[in-house]
Amino acid sequence: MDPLLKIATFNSIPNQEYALYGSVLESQVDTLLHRLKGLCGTLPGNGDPFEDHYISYSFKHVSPPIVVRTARSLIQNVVPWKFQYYGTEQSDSNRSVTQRQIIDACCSVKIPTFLQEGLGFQMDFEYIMKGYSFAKNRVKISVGRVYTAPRDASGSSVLAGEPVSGSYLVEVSTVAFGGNTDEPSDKDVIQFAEQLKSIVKLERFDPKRLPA
Amino acid sequence: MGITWVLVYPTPEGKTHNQALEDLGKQLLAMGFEKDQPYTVECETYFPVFNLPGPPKIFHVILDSDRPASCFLVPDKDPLGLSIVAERSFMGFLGKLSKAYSAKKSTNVEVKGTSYLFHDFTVRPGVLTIMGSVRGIVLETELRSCPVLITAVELMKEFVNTILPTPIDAPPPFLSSRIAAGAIPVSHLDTVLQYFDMFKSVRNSMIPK
Repeated sequence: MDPLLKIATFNSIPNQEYALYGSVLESQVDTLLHRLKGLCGTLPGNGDPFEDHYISYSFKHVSPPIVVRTARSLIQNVVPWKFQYYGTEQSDSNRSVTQRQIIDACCSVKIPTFLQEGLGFQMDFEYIMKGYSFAKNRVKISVGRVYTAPRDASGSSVLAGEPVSGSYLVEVSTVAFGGNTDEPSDKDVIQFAEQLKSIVKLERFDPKRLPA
Repeated sequence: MGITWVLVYPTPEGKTHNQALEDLGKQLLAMGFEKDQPYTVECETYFPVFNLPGPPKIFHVILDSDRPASCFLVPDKDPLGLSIVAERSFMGFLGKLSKAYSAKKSTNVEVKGTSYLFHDFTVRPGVLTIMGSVRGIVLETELRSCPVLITAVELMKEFVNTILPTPIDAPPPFLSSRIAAGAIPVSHLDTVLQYFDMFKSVRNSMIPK
């Protein structure tokens, strides 16, 4: 590849995600949102509601299968779709946060057909995530609930259906350069999680606890 | 984003493609064009590693140095209906697909040249190479001030005919079909698909019959 073209290649884009997860009951979510508003300040965009439609796809002809997802906003329809790929989790047990590789790219709206017709991916499931997002420096916090995504008769439009559970998922994450950086990014995430400790307990995502 | 026509610039007999490109550059400067920066358009083709049921899913990745944050993904089947534009970070995902799709170096196509500016027009003449062998000259002409395909057909025709040694009387075939379909406004994907059409025909002409 020409050196000129290399300027914007994925090498220079942060691609390691550090995250902690937790959940709160619906009755407590207002307390959490109040606390987050206090912690993150009143910058524009903080505490804004979001409603995103996620579709998960997999390519099952290889082992392990390649799993990707697309996301789009149901509130703003002028923003592009997002394509996301998550790598396997760094499974070193003394780590305190989930660290995964993430490839995140904005795409044309035709990304679902491109994945299915063009590359041979299969759609597995879809859901809608509704909630509020915050940001503090490099840390992103989202508080949201998963909804089913029933399709109308034509199969083209999707609206949030029933909530899947009575609680809200809380995610505190940051994306940074991988490797040995001077500034460990997991610190930011852990520090922020400490400040929420009285309301929500945030933990590393443990795939071993998932039902097989 | 304006209207773009991608055309073949016929190399005069008795000259190499590189000489012809040099002459064209001199001609453009003499006509009052301003020299801008070098550019590259590249096309990599990915083939499936193993056979899947159904027709083989081949796709092409086209990169343009003047659009450094984007990559263009063009499936071999139905390019107009399925092609997408993605952020350049999508290229990182192609490596993850290596068990399923791999790029064949022998099919890489590259167009390299320098762009020139003239008022509202940008002209990008460049040499087209496949596997290091020069195959011809590509002339991309863009009218930056107009995004509606149908309104500028006559103006574009007149403009490109001042540069081309042999005049043309119709837009490139890909655009004619877009105009007929009433497709407005244009996006950079329309430009990339014109390059793709050209790469395909050049590649096909290389296969011995």
